[in-house]
Amino acid sequence: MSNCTGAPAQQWLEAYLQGTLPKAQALRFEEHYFECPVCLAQAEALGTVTQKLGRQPKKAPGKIVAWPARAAALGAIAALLVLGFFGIREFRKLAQPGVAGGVPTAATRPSVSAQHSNAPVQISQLADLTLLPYHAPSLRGLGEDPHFASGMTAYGAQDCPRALKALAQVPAGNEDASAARFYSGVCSANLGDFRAAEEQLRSVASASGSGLEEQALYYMAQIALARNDAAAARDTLTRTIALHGDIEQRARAQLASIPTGAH
Amino acid sequence: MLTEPTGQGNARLVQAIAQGDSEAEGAFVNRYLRPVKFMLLARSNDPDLTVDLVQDVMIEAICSLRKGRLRDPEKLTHFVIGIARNLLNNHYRIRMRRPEPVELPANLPDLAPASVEFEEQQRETLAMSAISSLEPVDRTILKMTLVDGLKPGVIAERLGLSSDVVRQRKLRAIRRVTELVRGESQRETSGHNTVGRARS
Repeated sequence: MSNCTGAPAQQWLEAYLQGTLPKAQALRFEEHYFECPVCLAQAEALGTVTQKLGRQPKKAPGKIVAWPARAAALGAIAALLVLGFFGIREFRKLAQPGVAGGVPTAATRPSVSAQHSNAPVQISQLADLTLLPYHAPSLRGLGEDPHFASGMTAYGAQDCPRALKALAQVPAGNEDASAARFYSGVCSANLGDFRAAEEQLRSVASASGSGLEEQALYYMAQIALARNDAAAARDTLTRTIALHGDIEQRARAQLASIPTGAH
Repeated sequence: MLTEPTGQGNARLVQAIAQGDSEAEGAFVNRYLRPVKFMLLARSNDPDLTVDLVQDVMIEAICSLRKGRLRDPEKLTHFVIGIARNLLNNHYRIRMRRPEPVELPANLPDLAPASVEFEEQQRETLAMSAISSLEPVDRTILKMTLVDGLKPGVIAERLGLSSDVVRQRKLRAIRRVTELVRGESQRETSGHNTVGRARS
């Protein structure tokens, strides 16, 4: 039996999961955990945690403020709320109900419950606009366009502006042109430029034989979700499913999770 | 536990598979299914693709072993890793073209044993509860590290903490979740995981 206490996993696992472990080291680690149940168990445990964390909804990371500053900020917010409450009360007394130019009172304003009943269902939280994983050029064979290679290096480093610049230089007739357009679309969406993203992804989705139609449609669906456009999201997800490819199940699950009331 | 990876054990296993021993094929699957699956998932970060490819790796390895293509049984692990890497690389190479259909040989062992699936489900449940047990700051640090691939310095800047605090919290969080998932998983699945050995 192996006498390993899990030290290799403790040393290399994190970088291995991030894909930052140098190639030679990654190969050595793979050869090790294939034979070492202790390291394999650690690897599987952290791998599962990573997968689960990756599927959790994204929140913008806020700064963690020290307690005294947080208390002061909370106090200030409370004071503003109190002042605001009394201020509005005084202002309402001055304004005539229903008169143009005055502040609408409860009598002329739609009730809170009415506002809620007509509120559109927010489906944007279902959207997953994270950068899709891309694998090192060594996995894609030889003959790769240099602009594409440089763009994808930037993409791997999550540097979307640099990736977009390099990918735009991939010649139209090149073997990597479709992939360049696809990853440009993903980058544009990630930067919030949905119009450019849709244009690039649509051209990939409509060009048969690129091998990326399914991914392009799926990503277009994510943009539709981010825009709260349920109809477009349903349509593109249905088209994704119709291709019966690798992400059919994921698309089905997402389609099912769009609330029926969403438009 | 995995079948003992000794030189002699490898030789027996390889020989038995070449002689058409189905029990040896089952032992081979039990020994290599988990590491192959983890490797494919770590390299592709795509659970759906992993499920497809892990089967292909096992089929190709068993077919090659049946034909006696592995000359040096000492290199069995290396041989399996090589097949897994090649199939994954091929997947990305041919993604632009038409994928080749895989021919299914007859009498394959169970390539998705219930014990492995049960373990995976347990691990997923435990992973969720381990993540929930973390303090929100630690959870954020862990996510930024493992999912977003950020360095402690960048995380520290984003969260308004010092790099040392981030590093310390990250190490503590990784140790905690790993221990929770691994420890509990081993306790809960003990007795479920019986692996046969190749007949000599």
